[in-house]
Amino acid sequence: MSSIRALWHRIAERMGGGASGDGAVLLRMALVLAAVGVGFGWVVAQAAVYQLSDSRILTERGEARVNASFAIQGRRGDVLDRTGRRLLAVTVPSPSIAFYGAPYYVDRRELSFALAEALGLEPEDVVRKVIAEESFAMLKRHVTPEDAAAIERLALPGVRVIQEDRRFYPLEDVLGSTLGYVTKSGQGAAGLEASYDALLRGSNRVVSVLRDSARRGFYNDTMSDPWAVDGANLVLSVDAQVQLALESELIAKVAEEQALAAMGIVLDARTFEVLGMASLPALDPNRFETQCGDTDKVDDGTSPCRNKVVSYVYEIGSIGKLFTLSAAIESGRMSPDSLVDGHLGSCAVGTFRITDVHRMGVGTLSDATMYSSNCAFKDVALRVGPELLRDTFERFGLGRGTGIDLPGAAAGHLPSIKAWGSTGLQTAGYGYGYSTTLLHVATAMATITNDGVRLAPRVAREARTRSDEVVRRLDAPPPVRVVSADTARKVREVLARVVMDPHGTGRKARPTAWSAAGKTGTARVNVVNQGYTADRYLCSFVGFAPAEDPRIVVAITVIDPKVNHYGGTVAAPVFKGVADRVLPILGVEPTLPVEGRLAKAVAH
Amino acid sequence: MKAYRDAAQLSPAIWTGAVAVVVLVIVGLLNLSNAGAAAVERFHQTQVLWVVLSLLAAAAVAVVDMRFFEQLAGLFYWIGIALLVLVLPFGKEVNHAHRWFAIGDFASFQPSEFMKPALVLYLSRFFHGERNPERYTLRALLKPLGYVLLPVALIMMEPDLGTSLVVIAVGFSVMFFQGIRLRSFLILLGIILLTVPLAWEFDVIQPYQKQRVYTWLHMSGAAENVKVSADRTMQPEQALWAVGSGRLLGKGTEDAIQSRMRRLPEAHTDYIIASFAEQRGFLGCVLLLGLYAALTLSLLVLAVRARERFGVLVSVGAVAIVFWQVVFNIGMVLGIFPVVGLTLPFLSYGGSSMLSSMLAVGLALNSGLHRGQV
Repeated sequence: MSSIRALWHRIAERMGGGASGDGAVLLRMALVLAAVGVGFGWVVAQAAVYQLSDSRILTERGEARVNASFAIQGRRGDVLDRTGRRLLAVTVPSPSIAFYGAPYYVDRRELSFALAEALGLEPEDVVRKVIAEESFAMLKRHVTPEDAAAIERLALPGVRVIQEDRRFYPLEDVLGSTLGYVTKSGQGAAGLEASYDALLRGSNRVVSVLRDSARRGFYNDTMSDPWAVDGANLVLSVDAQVQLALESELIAKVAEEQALAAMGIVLDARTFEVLGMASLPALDPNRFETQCGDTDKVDDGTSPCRNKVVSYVYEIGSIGKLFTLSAAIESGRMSPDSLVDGHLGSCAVGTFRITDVHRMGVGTLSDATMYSSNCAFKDVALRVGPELLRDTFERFGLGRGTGIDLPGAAAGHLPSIKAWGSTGLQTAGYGYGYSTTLLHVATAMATITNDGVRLAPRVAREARTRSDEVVRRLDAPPPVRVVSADTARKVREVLARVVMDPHGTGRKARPTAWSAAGKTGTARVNVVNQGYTADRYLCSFVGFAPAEDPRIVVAITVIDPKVNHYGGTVAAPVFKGVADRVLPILGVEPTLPVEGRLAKAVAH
Repeated sequence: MKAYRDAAQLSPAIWTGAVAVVVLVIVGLLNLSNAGAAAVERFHQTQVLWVVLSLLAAAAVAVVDMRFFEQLAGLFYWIGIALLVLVLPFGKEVNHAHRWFAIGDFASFQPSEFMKPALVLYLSRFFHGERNPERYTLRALLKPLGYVLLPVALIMMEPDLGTSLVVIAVGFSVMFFQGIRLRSFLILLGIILLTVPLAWEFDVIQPYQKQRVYTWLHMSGAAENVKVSADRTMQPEQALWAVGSGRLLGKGTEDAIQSRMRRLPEAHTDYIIASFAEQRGFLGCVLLLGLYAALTLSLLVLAVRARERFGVLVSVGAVAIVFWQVVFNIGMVLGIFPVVGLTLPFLSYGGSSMLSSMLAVGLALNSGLHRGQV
């Protein structure tokens, strides 16, 4: 204490204080020390409040600002044809222009006019959006990269280029309705885009980042690859070349016949893979919004939006004899050589009378098929009996799904035996009284080419990653034995006559250099609430080639042709055209002697 | 050579002060590289240069004969005033203020920082030369008051409220320590209390400064009904969150994400303590304030032991320069005071600030070193 006292004396001396100075200096020094103590003490106390007592809430608030998270939507996978090289659907980056609000001093009217000019929009529309929207307005979606760059150069306040993805279909309306389309929100809404949406669509992954004051995100070191969320690429069984052949043949026929619509499918005769699938008028998925707008309208088969091959349900007419024929041979009660009566093309079914185009008398079952005799086949149906006939139909998949990997596939309608009655049974014998889709017909024909075993037709083969590793083979439902291999072989032989015999109804289906087999069909359009029309027809042909060793199954239906109206004259030539073009693509050697230069050219 | 006669008996106070300063600048340099400011690398190199220069300057100031400063105090002061006048038209403009002279393209010099030790010297000489060392009446204080208010007015014109407040605080500290009659003190206090609302009313206090006061009132809960926009409170709030995140032991440089993510305002200058607090925690803050306290107290001891009144007042002035800036700066970050632009001695980035603080300490050490000299 005495030394401190001595110190005070000294400082008092220096400060020149008198008698009273000593105490005053002491007081001042004490005040200075007190001030220092209070100053530092206060600061430390306040630090203790924040760092010890309030620290939890402050930490939370601080980290809430720094820690940010956002969702990364993985890029949607591409769709490729079976070669894996031809892109059918692809996701491309596509910039959009949006307005995120501007500070109060920005003249929004002026800004709007600048934007309208740069984007080529109506000034009134832009003014409305920019003035009405406080914080966000989408100005124009999917602009070109050049336009986006131009907008960025203008550096307009609050106007930003946002990078979005856009689905693009390079082949436009080729395979359109089968591919389907993707909505604005990225949801596969039709076709393959819908059925394989989960596989194609990238996962939506939430990524947490650290955000700096300029709102830039930084990843933590510990974070694994945040971008591994892309969807898989889908490889189809469809071959783009086959598809193009099918579509061009159909388009030519529709033009030639001034038809309302048409559809066609090419299946691999061994695997039931879809090589081509066309529905006209065709959908360009790039423009699905304009083409698929009017969903309320009753579809007469002309909507480009629907994939008619799987969804258009109709009575197939004479093609149905294929099922009756199979049932008859499978039953063991008849063979292709069994005699049947064609009633000279005129007979009574129930209360009404039917007439055949070819007036056949007594002949073999094979002949009846070749001439497509309705009167003979009503008898065949009676001989087979309702149980067996309907059972065979069911095993062919009629009235049920085919198991195809596309959405919106119709089951068709197969009435019960009770509903059929006697008349129904007879009409069913020649292809009326039940309804189905073209896909059912093609699948049934493929069952015959596959020795009686029905598989599910497939459009997609496998899913691959971006680096082309196969992620998943796309499995089909189990096969179904429909008829015996022997029955199938006999049916094939019968059907070969339809095409190869100079008198066969399907003779115009005969390819230039290959044998073929098939069945024609002509049905009247059954309009809802109006019944059968007098002058509108559905002309169909389903067949396979080569006849001895089938490689492809082709099914064609032309809806409401105006020039001709028989399956044999309208649809059969389409089969020929398709077979002539597709078989060489598949590398199938000609099976017939080649005649003429054109045929030689096709063969090589 | 008489100056070194007592070299062997250099008092612990000198050692304590010198060591505290050196430790502070080292802590400052380490902290600066982690402060989360942009262009850290360049800041850091520049600051190392300034630290070395400042330490040399402090050492030089400490060993030169105190009478040299006593004699030249007037020159320093009026050079300072001249620079403060010249900086108004010729200084470079940063954030609408003219506070710096540009030296070349990269370096700059802030005359208001230089003014602090110059004022301390000039006031000390004034009081040292007074024949009547009694407690001063108001009239006798008019002259030194003028010496304080002249630079304050010039600095206010830059404008730089923070530095002018520090200059006032430093000037008054010296005057107060010299001795002032209670009545005079109260009158001065009254004048100041009257001046504030007048300055407020007649916009001597700038609108943005008023906003900061509103913000402070709002955040401290004193006036919750005062409307303050979110972006005004954002920066001070952000600093508090960073301080609070430090907790007891701090988060270290790696995990102090608010510093690392450059969330902090003026992270390397006025708000340097926020990133320090986040990284080093309460314990670090206490240790840091302990260093400042050690420095302050050792300089006060030197003041007590100085040979002449000049040395005493210079030391007290140096203490005031360091003390008021530390308390104002950290107090501002912690929301005790409204936000004013003010550096934290030895820690904030900035050459002028570093040099000024270091010169002040050098002067105080000088008064201790030369105690044996006649």
